[in-house]
Amino acid sequence: MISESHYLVLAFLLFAIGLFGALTRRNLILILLSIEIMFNAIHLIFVTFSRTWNNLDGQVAALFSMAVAAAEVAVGLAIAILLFRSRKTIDASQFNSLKD
Amino acid sequence: MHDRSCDRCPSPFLPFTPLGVSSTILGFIASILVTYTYSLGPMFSLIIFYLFASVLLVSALASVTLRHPVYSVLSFLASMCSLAVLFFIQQAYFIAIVQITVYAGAILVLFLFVLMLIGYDKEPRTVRRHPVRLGFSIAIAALSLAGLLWMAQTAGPLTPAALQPQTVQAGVGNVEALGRLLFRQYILPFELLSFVLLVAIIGSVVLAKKEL
Repeated sequence: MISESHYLVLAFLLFAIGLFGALTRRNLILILLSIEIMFNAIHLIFVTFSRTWNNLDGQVAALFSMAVAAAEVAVGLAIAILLFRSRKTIDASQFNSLKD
Repeated sequence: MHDRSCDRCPSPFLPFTPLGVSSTILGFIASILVTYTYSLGPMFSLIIFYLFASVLLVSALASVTLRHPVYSVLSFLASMCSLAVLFFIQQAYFIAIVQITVYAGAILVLFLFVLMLIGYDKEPRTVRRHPVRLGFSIAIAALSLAGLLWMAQTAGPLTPAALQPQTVQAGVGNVEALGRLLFRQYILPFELLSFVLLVAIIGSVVLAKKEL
């Protein structure tokens, strides 16, 4: 069986990739996608520790986190559509003033 | 901003096929393989782990660096499938299936739907023209990675005293044990979660409606 440190390093790498994407992306939808990648790194950590300690609480936490991620994506994409309707772009660097 | 700069390619999906679709199909085939031949031994699971960890990292990197939004969403699909395989080989079968249904079935379709609705222009090359900004992002990501690794290294054995292995019983599968836990011990958070989903549904409908 693979030790949990393998999975932890993998999850940390995944989290760093998602953070890099969230910082460099310009498209609002792809920023949300990068945040989803960071969420998935957290799920991997939950499941890994659930297996390591032989306790299913981690998997329950991963399930709850997935549901919250789905809700977050729905609201975030609705906001993206709203912004696109008012500004005709989803480039995040164009949203630099509070009033339109 | 609106440079439809892909004049030569006839379909936006065409150049994508090698990377995302093949690794996704590989993921599905191998996850079925894993389920049937898991008892082959530690060497096999090590090979599966390294194979799918590399698929996961490469497709995650592709989905944050590719300039075409549709390609990056589809390589996100590949990374979700390989992550589901990693859940499988950790005996989290229910989470693996939920990962595929929620991410590949719901979230990914939502992303693609909104991309098609809004229009999927390529990202402008401005980030690559700003080496300071790119370097800053890489520095922050590397710093957070180093901090996480340092924390995991120095934290020592994280065994909590109050945690006892209570949920693994003989003759009870993963789904049944998870269901018992979810509907007995965690029934209140579970019901609250349905309320959170309801709020998200109503909120996104209200936000995205044309006239309020």
